[in-house]
Amino acid sequence: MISILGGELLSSLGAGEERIAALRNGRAAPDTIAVEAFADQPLFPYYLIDNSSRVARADHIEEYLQNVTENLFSRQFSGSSPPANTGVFLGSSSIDYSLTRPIEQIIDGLDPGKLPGNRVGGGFYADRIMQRFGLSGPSLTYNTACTSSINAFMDAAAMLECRVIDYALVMGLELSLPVIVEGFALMQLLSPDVLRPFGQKRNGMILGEAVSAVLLCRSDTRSSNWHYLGGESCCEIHSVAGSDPGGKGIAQVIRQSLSDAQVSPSELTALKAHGTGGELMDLAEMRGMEMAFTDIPDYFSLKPYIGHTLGGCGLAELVLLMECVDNGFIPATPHAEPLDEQFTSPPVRTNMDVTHGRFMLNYFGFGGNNTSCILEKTKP
Amino acid sequence: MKGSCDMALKLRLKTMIIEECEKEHIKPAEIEDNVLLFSDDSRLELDSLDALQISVALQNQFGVRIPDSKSFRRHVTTINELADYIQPGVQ
Amino acid sequence: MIFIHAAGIHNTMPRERQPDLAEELHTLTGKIYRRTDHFIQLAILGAHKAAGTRELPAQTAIYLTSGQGNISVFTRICEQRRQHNLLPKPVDFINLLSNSAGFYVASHLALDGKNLFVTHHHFPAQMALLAAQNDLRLGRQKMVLLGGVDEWIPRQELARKLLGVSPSTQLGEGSNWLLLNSEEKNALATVEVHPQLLSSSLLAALLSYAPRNTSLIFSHRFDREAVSGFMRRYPQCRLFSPEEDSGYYETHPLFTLSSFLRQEKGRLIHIDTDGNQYMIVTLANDLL
Repeated sequence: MISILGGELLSSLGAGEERIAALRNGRAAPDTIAVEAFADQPLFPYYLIDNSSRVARADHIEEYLQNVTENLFSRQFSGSSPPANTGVFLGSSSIDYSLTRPIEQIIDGLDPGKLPGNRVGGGFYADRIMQRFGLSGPSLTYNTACTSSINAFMDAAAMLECRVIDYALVMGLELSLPVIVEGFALMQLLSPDVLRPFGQKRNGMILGEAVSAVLLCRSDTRSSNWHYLGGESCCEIHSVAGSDPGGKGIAQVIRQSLSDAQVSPSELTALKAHGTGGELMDLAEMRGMEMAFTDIPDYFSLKPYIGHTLGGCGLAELVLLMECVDNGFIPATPHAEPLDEQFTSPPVRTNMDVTHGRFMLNYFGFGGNNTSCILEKTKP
Repeated sequence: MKGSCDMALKLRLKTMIIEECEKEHIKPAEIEDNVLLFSDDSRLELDSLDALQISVALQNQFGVRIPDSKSFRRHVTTINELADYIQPGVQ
Repeated sequence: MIFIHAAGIHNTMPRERQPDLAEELHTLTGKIYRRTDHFIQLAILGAHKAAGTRELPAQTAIYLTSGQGNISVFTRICEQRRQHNLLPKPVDFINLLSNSAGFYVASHLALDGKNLFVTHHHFPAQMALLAAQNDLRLGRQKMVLLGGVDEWIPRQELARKLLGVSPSTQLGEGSNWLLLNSEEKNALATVEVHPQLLSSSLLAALLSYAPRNTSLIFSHRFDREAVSGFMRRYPQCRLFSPEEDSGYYETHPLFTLSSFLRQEKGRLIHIDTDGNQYMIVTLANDLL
């Protein structure tokens, strides 16, 4: 069995008590960001890690990743270093972050000078973290749209099961680079005001930033109340731009995830939906749940709290879920009322008292990427 | 000149649509000025992603921003309408 | 132990422009792939060659790896933004965000299993192979189609800078795929990635025990002198060299492994380095 030892998250929600209070009280307000490439420079809501330094995100990536890792390691190894045989698994919707600056400089006719690590591109940041913390296990960087960091998490678990490594550091990374917000704006997938998962008046997603880190090991190395039970990742070849609104692909991954984790639907305490607030995406997800379950479990979306953190959302939402349950609740999903009339059941309307149980986490993305996994928290 | 009367503009739009939507097997002359671009029985067989692709090309090439491609698809249904949208002409 | 059941090689050294693959793809598959860029076309081409006439089970997983992914799209988007103030095309944006090559390969071969795009700073091919090896060993997958895809871009100076190679390095592109299975029946070869990086003394120990006639191949990261040094030290081994020329690209090890399958019978040790330590893949096609 795989133990989840703990997690760290940098998001718009702040940290510690502040973050728990926001989740408990259903309060979170996004910042705004202007899309300068459009003639009218429209403003879109955006959940930012730090409103004051939004300009130079690309220059601070290593710093953010180091911060969450340092916090995680100092908690988990009480100041000492993690074993060298720790693998690093990083998921992000952009493998190109490290390429951005040098390419821009070269296009502008400037010499980027000697690049750190001599080379940039895929795997750059995972390598920097390994260097910084003296880790020598294998490493992989995942780029599967919105399922990137949850796929990294699941493969890390497989690497542990194979006894290739003793610990796994899993990381999720998503920052507000101009190309990302422009892209979603021109795809017309952004809400101009409020993220309303599964709501009748839903009008798109709101993006968010998140940098997260989670530490895993086999339960025979160290025990924890939190375990990874299993999951599945599938490719739905309906359309490169989104799931089949009929829900077939989503139902398939949910069923396979239950079967891999050997969990029956009635054993699920709650389900963390992807819940983007996108018109077609929420429809596909609801249809998928209707197909996969006779009774849809209590479900909720965390995106109204931190936004859609794209490739980072897999791990960021996993950390939030663990924190909420550790604090005795599952948060209500704000702004879902009135529910879309086509839907069978609404998301969780008021906070649920939950201290332990089995939780399904679902994620769906561009490129047909669908992932579902199941975690368990045993009775404290 | 009103866009729908501007043959050069209309040819440019047709070529743009063919290019952006990778429909090279169709010649600009085969797209009639009054045929519905986004209907299911249109030879172009354009979908919502094509509509987005076209709306971005319109911004890039003509400086016209289309914030909502769904309402755009409802209101601008033919080459003539598209040409008038871009070039309303002087009354 | 995992087994290679098929291999597909696509390897070229473009000079001035990216070869037009759409035409080649059309001839080979009879299909037109709308909304695909050069990187995606490369991926489909290589995967198609590996799958051959086989009908793969729908659950076959795809592990696609690359050093820098669809770098030409990313560069084009940057150029359009900075030089011409243009917005990215929606299709480019989608392909950028999810590295959708895997989607198009899945769609071409009608697969709906696990579909990953993974990468690594030094060893994208070997690390992807390791992930596949884990899943096959755990029984999580029965069959994995694993491909390494790297594209050549016309801005050669930029490419060399990003890759950290010398200005004289000839760059190439490739899409090299292996069909992997946990079953021995009908296999072409066995393959194994050593999951830990080796120090030079561990590598020396491993090579000194290598059976007579073991073929060695060194990645592009070793210069000629280093290679001849190794070959002098381990005279029982011989140096393998692929018949087909190739330029530098980061998933090149998959080209080498496939070339060995095509040309030789025996045992091969593929040696790569990050400058300090060594990553080893062994392959054998003489025992099956």
